[in-house]
Amino acid sequence: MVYITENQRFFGTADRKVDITPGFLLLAAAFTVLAGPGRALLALAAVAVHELGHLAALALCGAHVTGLRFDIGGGEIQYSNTLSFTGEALAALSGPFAGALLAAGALGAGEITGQAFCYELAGVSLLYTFFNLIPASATDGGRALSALTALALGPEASDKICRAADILCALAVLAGGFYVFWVSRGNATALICAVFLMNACCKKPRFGVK
Amino acid sequence: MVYVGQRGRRRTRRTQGNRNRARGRWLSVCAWLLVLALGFCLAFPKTAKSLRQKASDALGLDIGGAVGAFGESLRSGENIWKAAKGAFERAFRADGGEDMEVGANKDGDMPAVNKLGDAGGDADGVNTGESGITDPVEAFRESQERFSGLGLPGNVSFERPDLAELKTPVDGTVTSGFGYREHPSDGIVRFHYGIDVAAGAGTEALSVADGTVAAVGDSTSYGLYVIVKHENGVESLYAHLSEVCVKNGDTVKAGDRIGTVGETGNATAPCLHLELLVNGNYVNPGFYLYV
Repeated sequence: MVYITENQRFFGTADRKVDITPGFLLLAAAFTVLAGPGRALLALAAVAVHELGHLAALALCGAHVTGLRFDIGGGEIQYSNTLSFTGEALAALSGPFAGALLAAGALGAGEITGQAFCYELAGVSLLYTFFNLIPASATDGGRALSALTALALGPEASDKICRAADILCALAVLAGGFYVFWVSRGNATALICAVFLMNACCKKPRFGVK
Repeated sequence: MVYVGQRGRRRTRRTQGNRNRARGRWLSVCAWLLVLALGFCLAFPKTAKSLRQKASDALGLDIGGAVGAFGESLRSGENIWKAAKGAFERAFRADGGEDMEVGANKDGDMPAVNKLGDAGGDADGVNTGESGITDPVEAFRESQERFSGLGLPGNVSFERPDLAELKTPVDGTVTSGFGYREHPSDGIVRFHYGIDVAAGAGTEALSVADGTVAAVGDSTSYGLYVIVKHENGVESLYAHLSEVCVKNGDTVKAGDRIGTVGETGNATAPCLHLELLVNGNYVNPGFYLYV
């Protein structure tokens, strides 16, 4: 069923909505052109398995999934009920865990078949997993850090730690961008990507698991 | 300005409707862009590959190369962090800072992808000395003298280890030799990890010695390739093939057909790219073949 709501969700059933943003489609088109359709498909597979990992953990924790959103930063799952801190940490880390499992499976398949695409799938999945484990607010690593520190030290201390982690991550990403800019003798793309990443990392998550 | 009452509500709904319609239009445009991009890449793969290279050069961003390099590093068992670092540097063309190719893996038994090391069909020629020295080893060393400031990439040897006689893999002419060279298209110095032998498309590519097929694969740079493991720590790689007629684990004899010459990967003309490794170090195949 297709309908338009106040929240600009574009299509889906009455209580479950799938939202695909123009940014996601543009990113997919750019990736297809720059890396080839084969590798774009591998990247899509890595993202899909990552989100399936989240969905599986959310189902185990009894969360009611109300939506799935794909934007330029990746996938976002929206759920309506509140999870415990342990549940939140589990839900946040399940995506990277699924990605790591996919990478291990692809590596094993590569060892048996000798096919290059298995190793490339493992590589793409690992890169996506690494990115999501950065301990910044908008990533799974940040959400896990928030949940685990809240569990151990309480929500207020967790807030302070997460804010500090955000700043450190932003600085590290910016420093990395400048380093690559210098080593590549003025490749501005590296700096632009670093600024974009810095902004994406520090964005507060809107709802649910990323 | 905020409207109150019936009129205001209608205006709000109309604005919301306009916004959703605009979003719908953007979504359609972007969806069509994706479909067009996919269709173009599938319908015109060579043109797409060439456009990809140009876009990559213009943006200073090589995503495909980075993914390929990371995959190859994982295959060769390199440390994951080192492989990831190499992939990021490759993505932003920051490997070495001197436009040099990513070095081969230090302890791997499978070679890294040569991004630009094997553009077959260029007229670079075999590296020979300028003073008419006929010993191939001395001639090669003399030809590399002017690059001595760059040092050797990892896992490369300029020595000539003793090997059993190797069979010529393909009838053709060596158009690009082993070692440093100024790339004919842009003048940038790169290291070439093997030799390119120009031959007609479809010419048989033969194994240089007895061995076992260790890998058959497809990558952005190498195209279709085969790796054969021989005795005494020797391995040979055959790239840019149009067809492969062996599979992982097959036993081959010297002179057995393993595929046909093509121009897959980043080759610009039909040629066989041959690499030779001895105990994990790249050596110059030109010391043993086409002398």
